[in-house]
Amino acid sequence: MLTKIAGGEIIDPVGGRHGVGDLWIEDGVIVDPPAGRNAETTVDASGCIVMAGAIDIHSHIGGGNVNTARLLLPEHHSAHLPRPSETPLSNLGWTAFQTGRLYAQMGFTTVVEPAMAPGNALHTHLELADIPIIDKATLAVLGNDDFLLSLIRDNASSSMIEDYVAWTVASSRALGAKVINAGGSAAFKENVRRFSLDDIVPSYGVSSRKIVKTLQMAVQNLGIPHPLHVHCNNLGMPGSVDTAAATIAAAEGVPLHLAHLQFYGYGTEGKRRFSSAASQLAEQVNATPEITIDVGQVMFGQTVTISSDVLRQFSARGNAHPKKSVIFDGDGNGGGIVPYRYRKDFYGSLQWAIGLELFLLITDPWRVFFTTDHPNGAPFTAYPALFELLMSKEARREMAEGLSASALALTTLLAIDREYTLEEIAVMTRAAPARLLGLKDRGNLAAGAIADVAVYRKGKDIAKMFGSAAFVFKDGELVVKDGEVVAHRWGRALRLAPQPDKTMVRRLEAYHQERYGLSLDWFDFPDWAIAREQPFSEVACAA
Amino acid sequence: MAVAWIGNRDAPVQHAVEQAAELLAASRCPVISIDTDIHGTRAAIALAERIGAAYDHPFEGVARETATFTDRGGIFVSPGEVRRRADVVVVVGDLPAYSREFVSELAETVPDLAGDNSRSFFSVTGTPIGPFPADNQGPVTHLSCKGTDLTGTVAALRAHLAGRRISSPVENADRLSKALGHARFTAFLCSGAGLDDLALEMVQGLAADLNKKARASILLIPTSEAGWGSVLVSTWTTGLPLRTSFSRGAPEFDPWRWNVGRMIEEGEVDLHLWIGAGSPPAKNGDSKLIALTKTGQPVADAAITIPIGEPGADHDAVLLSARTGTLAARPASEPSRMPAAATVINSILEHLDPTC
Amino acid sequence: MSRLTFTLLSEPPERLDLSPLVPARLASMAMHEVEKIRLGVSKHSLAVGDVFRLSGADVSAIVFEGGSRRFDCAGALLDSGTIRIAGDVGAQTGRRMSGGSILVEGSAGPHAGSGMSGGRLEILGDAGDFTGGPLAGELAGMSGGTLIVRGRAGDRAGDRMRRGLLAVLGGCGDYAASRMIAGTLAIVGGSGRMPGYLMRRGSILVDRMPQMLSPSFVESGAWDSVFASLADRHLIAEGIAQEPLLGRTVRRYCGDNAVLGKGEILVAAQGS
Repeated sequence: MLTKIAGGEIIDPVGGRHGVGDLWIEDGVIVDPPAGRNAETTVDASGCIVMAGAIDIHSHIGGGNVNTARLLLPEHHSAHLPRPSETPLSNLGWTAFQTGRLYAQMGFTTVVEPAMAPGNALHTHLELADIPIIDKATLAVLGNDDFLLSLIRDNASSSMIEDYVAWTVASSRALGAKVINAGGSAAFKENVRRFSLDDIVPSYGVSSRKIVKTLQMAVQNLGIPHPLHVHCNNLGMPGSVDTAAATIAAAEGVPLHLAHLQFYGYGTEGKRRFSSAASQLAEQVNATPEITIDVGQVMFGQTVTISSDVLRQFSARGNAHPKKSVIFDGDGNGGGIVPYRYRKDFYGSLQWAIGLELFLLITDPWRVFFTTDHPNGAPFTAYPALFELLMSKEARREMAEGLSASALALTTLLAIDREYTLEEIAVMTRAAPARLLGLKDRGNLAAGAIADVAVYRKGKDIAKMFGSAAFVFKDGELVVKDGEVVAHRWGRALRLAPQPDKTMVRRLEAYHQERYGLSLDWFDFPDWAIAREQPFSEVACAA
Repeated sequence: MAVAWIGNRDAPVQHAVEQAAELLAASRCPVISIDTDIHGTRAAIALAERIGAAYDHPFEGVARETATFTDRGGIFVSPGEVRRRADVVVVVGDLPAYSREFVSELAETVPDLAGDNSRSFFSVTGTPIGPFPADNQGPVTHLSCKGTDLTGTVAALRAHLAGRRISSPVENADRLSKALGHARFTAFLCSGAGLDDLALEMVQGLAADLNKKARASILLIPTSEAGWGSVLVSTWTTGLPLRTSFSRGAPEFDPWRWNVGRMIEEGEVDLHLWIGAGSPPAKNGDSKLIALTKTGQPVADAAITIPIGEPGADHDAVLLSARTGTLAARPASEPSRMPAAATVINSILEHLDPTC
Repeated sequence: MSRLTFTLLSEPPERLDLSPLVPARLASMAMHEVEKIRLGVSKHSLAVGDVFRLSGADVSAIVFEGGSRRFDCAGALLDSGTIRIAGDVGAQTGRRMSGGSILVEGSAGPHAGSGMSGGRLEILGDAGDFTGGPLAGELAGMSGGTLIVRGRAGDRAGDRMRRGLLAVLGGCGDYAASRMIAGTLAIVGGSGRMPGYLMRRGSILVDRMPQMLSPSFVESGAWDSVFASLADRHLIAEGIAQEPLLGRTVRRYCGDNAVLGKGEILVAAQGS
């Protein structure tokens, strides 16, 4: 079917298009205007902007820890209380099904779950398969697992380490690799309570830095498009800026992605010894071209923090609101679930401002990514409000009026005039994520790209514009109209499929038999287990 | 397997499916008991949503395990980490029979990731654990407290280890104290099958106390692997664990109100759909029964019986494995023509009146 | 103006959610609107008019003529006015009420007075498990008000109670005042096993020795006779008890030492 999206303001930084025009779709892809043919369907996009479907590179939407968070908080489920729309978290997209619908309504068509425990891959992919409409992808978590730490301790060759990373990514159907507090979970199991970049994991004699560097090089050498995704040590601690700065410096010219940098923008100044170090951090990012970051913006209200940084979550239990939490000493990283309410007090105000400072002070929209680290800084349903804050200094000032003045005085936020343009938004949420993840088929509107298209009705109310898309197409199918979901379809999980080395597979089989008393089969699964047609879609590694 | 039963009469499966769809659509208060694999549970919850049913598993222990998460949370450990790391293992209360094999495995291995390659066992229960005898003759040190029960013993043990007074000593508590003093990683093994809600909470509290200075964690062994698998599925599909109902449209979780056993007993149900390779409980009260079960003959008193296979035996399945602590794909061990529960339920869904 | 009266026509065929039938929610409604309020919780559910005959108009004093074990959430979120139920009720009667009063002339199901923060709930018959306690997932039990059970209460009465007075005059089941944070539970008629399990602070007053005490409770000679006699006088003054519950000789047990250990169980010595 030939579809024309007519008369919209097309914003496609990759193709260099910015202006009113038509966009043509056929058989699920974007096509050049066909000569001498008429559209079978025409969508009137006058008064609208037309962008590629948005891509979220870091949002905890499924898998063991996410599901445990749901289990921990049944009283926060919308239906549990008599007035659902007014209850906390009622807008969280708390089920797999709602997650897909709510993302689609905002014009998002691809979302990355950034923390899949490889051993829990089947569970994660089953959850993701129940998220409708959007495509999904996962990052496999490495760096606290005994097998890798042992390889590093024993000075294994880089090719052996690459074989292991390749097997992990392939068997868990991941799109990349992530390291979360490298070595910190393993150290916590040995009763270590504080762990930094140059600390040594007991029993292995390996530093956190060494783990990060080893994985960074393995990812690079395997041609995995997405650079190693790093959740640094010391998340959320006053002074964590030093850890982030040291990690950035450790990139040493090779690409590295730092997740939710806001949680590391903390200095130790002021009478509470908690201050903004965002401008220092932004400057360093600006000066280090191999670094990309996502923000992990904090927005106010009730949420729940979900992290595979078990050490950090263990120490955060005391701040749980409501007062319950789950800590999991899992194979490898494990994780922790701590519900939390961001208040408009000194701490909350500062965190909110630091995130925005990073967004506004990092100059290159190709290197700063739009996330709230859902649901850690805020649920993804806060995105529309966040777009408004980025695009309007007036909106920031209004918001700031209700916040802690002493906190804001420790930041540069109110002195920043920058307002994101629509073009920059399109880079940050479409073009750049596709490039960062190696997804050549999306994030742009050139002929041949898959027809993931978001159409927003222009208006003064930016939050409304981005919260409720006028039209959304997924693979060419109209899925959202006037902010309502009009069609459900099952998206796919995007994955890499590096060929696992046979010697490594034999070695892993022997390891699992000896150490766990189980065959490697238990840690892998066939595609039929997902019980959907074509649950996966393969993305190529670089040659 | 083209045979099913309507009452005691043979019927083609297709016909039985159509009849089941009609009964389910007409029911005022349908309930579903789920004891099956992951995809069977997914299908059953989709059916519950469609017909406005309450759904539940038939395991009280799983309800207690669920409450541990919903009401309190806590600190948990994976079975793999217990095997590789735990140098002190404390079994509290009876464990499900199927976990005997894992306990034996712990007895036959030593931790290789921490500790000095030895593992000591303690038990707070009167009954034998794994391969060990119930007295102090084996390698297990038994902890007990006179004049109270298991729940009281756990309380006494926690108070004693925290250095507070108790009214009756816990036998061998000092041996545990000493072992904990050297432990690199202590694992408590317990289950909703063997402890009540409060005792489970007390064990969590005990582990939390120990974690102030050392490392300790809890391996919660589910009463039923299928039951816990269903809890996981229900949680990602509806946001809520089992004992949930769609009768008012949106899912509502209420472990008392939507306890299917209670509902049937108190005459609130007019139709009960049983989904499980095992036999349904004897019919109780006036409600009609539709049984999806592994059988070669009609289930007594069932309005409709449709045979299904055993997941992972008759057909390929995804199941929760307590041994790995996560979901696993299990190919059929003795493939047969008995269909998966999901297949039959999806077929019922296709035959439901679209206005239902 | 006569009281708004809901007369039960016959035993309802399904569980009902009576939470809409409280003064605050009925105040601005016409009678024909009230009759349409959905009460049933099954998929073909019943409305008020299917279950009750309505009479009277004063919504500040609601009467249910006839009750049922299937009446759930009666008086939920009540903040003022009175509700009298001439019969039994089901689960969650007076759920999270903050004011006003509810009288149940029959027996109640589980979670009566769940999370109540004020007002008075009195049950002349028995009460089910978790009287005053939180629902699944919640952390807060009763935090204020007065809850009286003239008959027997089931297990775990006063679970996670934080403030207020809970009096049970026909005896308690097991684990009374489990996980109590503070507040007072007064029991006439004895208690089952291990009252005060996991209690941090608060007081349990009981007229005779419980069936079993947790070993994490320890007898302590010193007890506050002023508190005991004050408590007795309060129970009599409130019309809860006819005679002193504790009397002059009291044995005091402190616990739960598994946790904070700042709670107490006061047992009338003459009954022990």
